[in-house]
Amino acid sequence: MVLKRIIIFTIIIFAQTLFANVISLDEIKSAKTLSQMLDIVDKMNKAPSKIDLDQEVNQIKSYFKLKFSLLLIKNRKIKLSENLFMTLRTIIEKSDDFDLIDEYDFDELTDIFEIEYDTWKKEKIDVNYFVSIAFYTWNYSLELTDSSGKEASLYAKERGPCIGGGLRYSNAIWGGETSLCYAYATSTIGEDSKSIKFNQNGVPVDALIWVSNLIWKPKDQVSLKFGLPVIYHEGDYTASTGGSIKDDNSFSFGYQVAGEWLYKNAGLEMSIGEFKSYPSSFWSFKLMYFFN
Amino acid sequence: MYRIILILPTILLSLNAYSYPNFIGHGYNSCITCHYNPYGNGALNDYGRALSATAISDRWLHDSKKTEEEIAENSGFLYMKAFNSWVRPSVNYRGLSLKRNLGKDTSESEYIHMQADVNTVIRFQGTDKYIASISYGYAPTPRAQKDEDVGNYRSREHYVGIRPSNEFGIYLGMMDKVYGIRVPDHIAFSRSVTELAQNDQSHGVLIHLNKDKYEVGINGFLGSLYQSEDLRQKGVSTKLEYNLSNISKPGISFLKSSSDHVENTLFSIHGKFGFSKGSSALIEVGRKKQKIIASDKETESLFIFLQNHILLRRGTYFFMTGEYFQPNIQKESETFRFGPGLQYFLVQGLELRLDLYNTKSFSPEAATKDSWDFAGQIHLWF
Repeated sequence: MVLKRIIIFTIIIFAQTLFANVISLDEIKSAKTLSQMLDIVDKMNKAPSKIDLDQEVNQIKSYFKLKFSLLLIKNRKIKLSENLFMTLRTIIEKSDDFDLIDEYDFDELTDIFEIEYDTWKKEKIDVNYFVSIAFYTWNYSLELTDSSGKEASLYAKERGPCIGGGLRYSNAIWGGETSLCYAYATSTIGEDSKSIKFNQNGVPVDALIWVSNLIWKPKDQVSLKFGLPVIYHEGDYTASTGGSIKDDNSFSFGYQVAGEWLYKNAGLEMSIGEFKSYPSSFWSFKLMYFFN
Repeated sequence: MYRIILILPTILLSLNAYSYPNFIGHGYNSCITCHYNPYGNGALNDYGRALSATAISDRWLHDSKKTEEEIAENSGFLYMKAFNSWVRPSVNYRGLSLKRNLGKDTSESEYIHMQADVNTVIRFQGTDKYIASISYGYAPTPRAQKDEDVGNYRSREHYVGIRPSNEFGIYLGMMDKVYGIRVPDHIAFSRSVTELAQNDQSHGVLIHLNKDKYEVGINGFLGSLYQSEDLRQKGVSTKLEYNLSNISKPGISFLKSSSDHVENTLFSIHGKFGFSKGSSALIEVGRKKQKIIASDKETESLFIFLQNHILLRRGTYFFMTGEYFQPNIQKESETFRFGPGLQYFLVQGLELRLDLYNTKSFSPEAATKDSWDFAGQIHLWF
């Protein structure tokens, strides 16, 4: 007996839940205030998901759903989200097949939707992780002390790949990113003064390069970046017998400017900059892959 | 020796009125859209003039009420409307302010008149079907020949073209050879190493086929007939490009030529890609095999050219150029050149360009210091 009552009660609750959100066209048309529209849109969103859009009444309901949603977005009662965008976009696409009277002007709503969508897209912040492989080259200064205690400057030219990844926050126009990569480079070292002769080639160099960039996107797929790179550098230099080499390990920081070209999830970045205390510039070519 | 090879492109530094393949970013993926020569350079056709006046150049100097159609209409010779249908005169000037070895004791500045040409295109029947293009003008003495009388006035281009349809054309005369991406950067290794720079035009015949999906050019050449016969590079070149879309065009090029002294074989692959509206990426990777006939010595070199443009606003481009050159692939010596630049088309007929070049040379024997050069360019065409 108790079980029977529970079953009946459950059926009633389920039916109420199911049909409470089925809303009549008259009720929809009677909505005048934003709060009434909000209530209606809310109910429509909770209504059974499969709606037969071949039926004229459902086409009209879709019109109002679109219209009210846009009004609510414009008046900041609701925010455009990825899901809502997809829902409204679907209504607009399907409206091409509707055969309604001129009173239900989907074209007008489509224009409003596109404006709202553009605004949303510009403000929407995307967070993307990326992996990268780059080619870096920079020049480096060293101090050689020979066996007699005489000091001389050395000049090193270094280059090699740098593998890493990073994180980017950006909207359609501005953004920021930070990335870290590990470089395993090789170095050619020569004298930096006429007082000595020195040459080493193929010296292994390790470096960690951390870059934080401010991003400006003049267009969708291209960006200009202004950044602060930090480098930790470690080289396996060897002095001639009895001598020593200083400054093989160091921290440095600097500035850089970069351009980025993006195709789908892949990006190409070219950057040029300077590390403090490094002679001359550094630059890099970087390939990036962004995860959605 | 390799240092001489590395320095040579800088000695020959000069730029010319070449086409702008980066305009693929605007959806223009074929040079013939804007130029009479199907591979660019030389005179602009009517459409090219209108386009450079509107889509490419800033409209800051124009009255805001002036329509794009009015600007385009007055894009002819000296900003006039075309005065008839069969003759298209033009003048072209490029000047370069160059500062070499920035920050060094050896730093020097100079201004070079790189080009001052007059050009006339005769359009027989008043259309672009049958044309004759003739240019004549000033060219600077190459630095390496500064004490020689090389003749500063010459014709760099004169040819007749028959183009019975948009898809097919045949051209006969003196033209640039068909090969790779014809960028306006003549110091680019892809232009200087390949000997396809400012004064490397050749007499010959060009057959051009431009279909929806692909574009192919075959160029047979006899060398410049102004050169002494033993120096003339005679041979053939070809370029095949495939349109993946109107903003994506990869291609391959091949060139084989020889004179009494030198044999050259070149091969390269390239790609031109558009990003957003107006921005682009250009890449070319190539190899050159050169044989000195007298010594039977063969050298194979490798070059890479990468240039990316960002359209900042109408008429203004920021770009970055990265280059690599290995003069002899059997040896470890190599050169990288990298630099940002800014290009501004104030109005049709006036281009300003600034380039900063940072060159790094690597060699196992020495750690040479970088060099920095600055180039400011003015380009006028009317």
